[in-house]
Parts: sequence; C-alpha cells; structure tokens
Amino acid sequence: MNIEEIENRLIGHLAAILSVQADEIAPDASLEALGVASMALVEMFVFIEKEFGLELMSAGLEREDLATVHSLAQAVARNI
Amino acid sequence: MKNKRYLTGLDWIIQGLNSATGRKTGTGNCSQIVLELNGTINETAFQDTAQRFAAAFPVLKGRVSRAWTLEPYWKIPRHSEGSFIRTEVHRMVGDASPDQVFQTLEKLVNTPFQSNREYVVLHLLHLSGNRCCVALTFDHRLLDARGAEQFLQLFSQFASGAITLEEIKGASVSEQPSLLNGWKDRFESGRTVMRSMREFSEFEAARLAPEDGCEAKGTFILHPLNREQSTAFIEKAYKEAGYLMFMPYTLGVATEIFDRLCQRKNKPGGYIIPCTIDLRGTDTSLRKMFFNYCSMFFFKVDQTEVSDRNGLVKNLKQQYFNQTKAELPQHFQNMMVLTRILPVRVFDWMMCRHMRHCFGSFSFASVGGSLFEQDKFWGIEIENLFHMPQIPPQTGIGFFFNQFHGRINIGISFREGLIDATDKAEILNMLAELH
Repeated sequence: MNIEEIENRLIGHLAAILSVQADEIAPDASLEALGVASMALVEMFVFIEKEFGLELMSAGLEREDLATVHSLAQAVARNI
Repeated sequence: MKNKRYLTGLDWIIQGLNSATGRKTGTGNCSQIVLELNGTINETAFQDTAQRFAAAFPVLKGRVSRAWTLEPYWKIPRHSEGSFIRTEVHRMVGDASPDQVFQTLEKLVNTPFQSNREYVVLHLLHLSGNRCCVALTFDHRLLDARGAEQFLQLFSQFASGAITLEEIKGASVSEQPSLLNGWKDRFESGRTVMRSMREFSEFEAARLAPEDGCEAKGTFILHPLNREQSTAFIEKAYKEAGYLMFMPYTLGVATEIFDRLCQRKNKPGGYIIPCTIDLRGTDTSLRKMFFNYCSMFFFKVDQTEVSDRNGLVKNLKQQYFNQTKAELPQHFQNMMVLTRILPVRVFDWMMCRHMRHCFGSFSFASVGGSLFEQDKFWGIEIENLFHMPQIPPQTGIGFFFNQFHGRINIGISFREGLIDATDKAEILNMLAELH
C-alpha cells in the first residue's frame, strides 16, 4: 500500500470524525489547525488499529509524526 | 415548528440529576457561563434585546411531558408569545475586588430559578473602571455547556444585528426520533456497559462528599492562565502525555490534586472518574444548541499509581483508547434510552441507591476550544470566558479545563466545606508548578 492510499483512508475517516467533507482536508494541513484534539486523535488510533493492524497509541510517536495527515500516513507506512 | 422534541437517554440522566441535586440543595443541576468584558453595556438595551431574543425560542417555555407510548418529550408551545428571559442587573459597590465579584457570581449560580419552568437567566454586573460581566445561568435540562456558549454567542450576534430573529427562528431545535425501535441493540449496549462497569462497582472509590451527599452550596476556585502560561501548560502537556493529548494530561493533573486532598483527609480507596465528552465533534449547527449532546467515559485509578505522573497518564491514555475502541460512550448513550421509562423521581432514587459508583470520586471535563468564537460581545472586547458548573451533591467536587482564545481556565467546583483554605493554598501551589 503506498502513502497516497494510506492518506486517502486516513482523510476519509478524519472527515467523518470532524463532520467535514474529505476534500476540505489537505494532506499537509496541520491536524491541530483542523481541530483535532485528544478525542479525535484517539479515534484515529482506533481506526488505524482496525484498518492497518497497528497499535500506535503506545508506539511513542513524535510530534512530527502527528503534525499532518501526510506525516501520520508516513508513520503508518513505516510501521506496517 | 414541531411542538414535540423527544428526550434522549442522556437528557433523561440530566432530568434525574436535576431531581437529585434539587432535592439536596434547592438548586437544580445548573451551571453558569461568565464573560468578562472590557467595557460596559447599556442595561436598558440589554434587557430589551434579551426580551426580543427570547421570542425566537418557544422552547424556553417548554416542559417535560409523556407521549401515550410513555416516551418523555419536551412539550414546546406552538407560539412564542410569552417567551421570556429574566434579566437582572447588579452593581458592585465602589472598587470591588476580584474576590468580591467572584463571590457575587457564586451567589448567582446558587440562586434557584424562580419556577420549575425557568431555564435561563441573564445577569449584567456593572464593575468599576468601565468594565462589566455578563453571566448566563442555565439549567442543564435545556442546555449543556457548549450549547449555552452557542446561545450566548447567538445573543451577541442578534444584539449587534449580525443575525435576525427570522434567521434564528425554527433553526434552533433539532428533530429527535422517538427511539422506540432497536430494543435488542439497546439491551446489548446495556450488557456491554454493565460488563465494563462491573469492575467499577467492586472498586472502593474514595470520595470527599458524605455517603448521602453534601447539601452545602456550590463554591468555586478559578485559576485563569494568561497566554504565556497557557502556552507553557500546553507544551508541558504535549511533552509529558504526547502531542494533542491535552485531556489525558489534565485528567492526570486533576487526579493528583484529588489524591492530595484525599491523603490530607485520610480518605482511603481508589478513584473512579466519570468524564463528560461532547459528541458534537466540530458540528456547530444551531440545531444542536438545545438539550444534551454528551456522553461519558469512566476512568479507574488505583491510589498507588498516582505518585508517578508518567505512569498515571499512560494508564489513563490506555483506558481512553480501550473505551473508545469498545465504543463505550456510544453504548452508554444507547443504553440510557432504556431508562426513560422510569419516572424522574424513581430514576433519581435508583441512581443514588444502586448506581452510586457512576457518580464517581470526582467529576471531570476538559474542553479543548470554546464554541464561542467571537472576540467581542456586543462590540466589547472579551477578556475571558469561564464556566461555573454546579456539581451533583453525591460527588461533591469536579475539575474543569476550558480554553478561550489561547487561554486556559482551570476551574474547581465543590460543595462548601469540602475544601478548606489550607487545601485551596496547596491546590494553587500545585497548579502553579504546571506553567
């Protein structure tokens, strides 16, 4: 699975969490600026576990990994 | 406009809490939002505008009723004539200190509504130095905290002419299906929640409130941080709990403070923490302004875990993840639909007798950002926005974190007598170390 596919899946789910259209989320937009707080982030971690089989909650991700959808997708790709 | 809005299970919990709180303290399950303004408002204009604004909301004249199918609903008058928002104007004498202003605000939120069908009151407090406060005291049966922020924001927009009464009318009460279907699904949700809660009911939870609840009035500690302090606090939270993990960090901080109080008062046991979450997400539509759109997480902490903050926060994060994965807040919401069959008084009795562990050791809520987006109210700069929620007497104490325009307010609400002056000094010292 390439980064773009992972990004698209993450954006689809994030859009549902934030109640916005998927095309309103740019891969390089800051998650914090999009309104992602702890609840939404935990929901994303749950989605990633179900979708990609990765437990990222306790994987020690750095701030840079959670900066944007693109960086989160890279972190997922690294751990698959 | 529909004259019937079915109540959800969460609305019914609030009805039960209102009964339990009112029975003990004389005031129901209410709260207050306060805006500190750097200017003054003409009181006649304030009162007139409030009355014109009220005309958009027949829901303010509503009451609970039951359909022939026994489902409770909010009966909304078909016409808005007679909708009324009581306004009160207060003047602080001379150069009132911030403590005196705060005591006045405390008094307002402890004043019972004038009838069982009054749900909001608007207060205007004139302060010295050409400043004022606007406080909205509200009943949780009609508004939750974020809905109340939205209500106040709408009032300001209406006052400044940014929105008309016609635009507001009809847009402000969501349709709510009767929820008479899906019984099997609701019982399954109940089974999921009960399985999770079983370990809680066997856990001896420490409490500051007496066994049968505390009848004293609600009292508050407010610790507002300036922008620099708030930035430092958030950075510390992200460093210790992980990026964007503000809520687990603040929950850890609240648990540490509560633990210190329990140690001082020799209250043994672990901690059960019901944590309110808003289910609106980023949906800010007016249709979700009235009634309740929240659910609960329940956290459990052993007293021995509290001394290690990293371990504590890690544990809380894992519980947060596990409960989100198990969709516990959604199951809780779904299960509570079943309770609507009970009359409020019976539900109140059941909560206090058989679901006491649900009240937990202390209440907790952490709101990332305020729904109140404007930086002005009635054209006047807002210096701060904070909440003063009453805590159910069975719990007695709660911790609240809210952010407004990059500033954090840390609020502690408690029944008078549960925290003394020495406790308060120690709490403020603990908080000062965090920024």
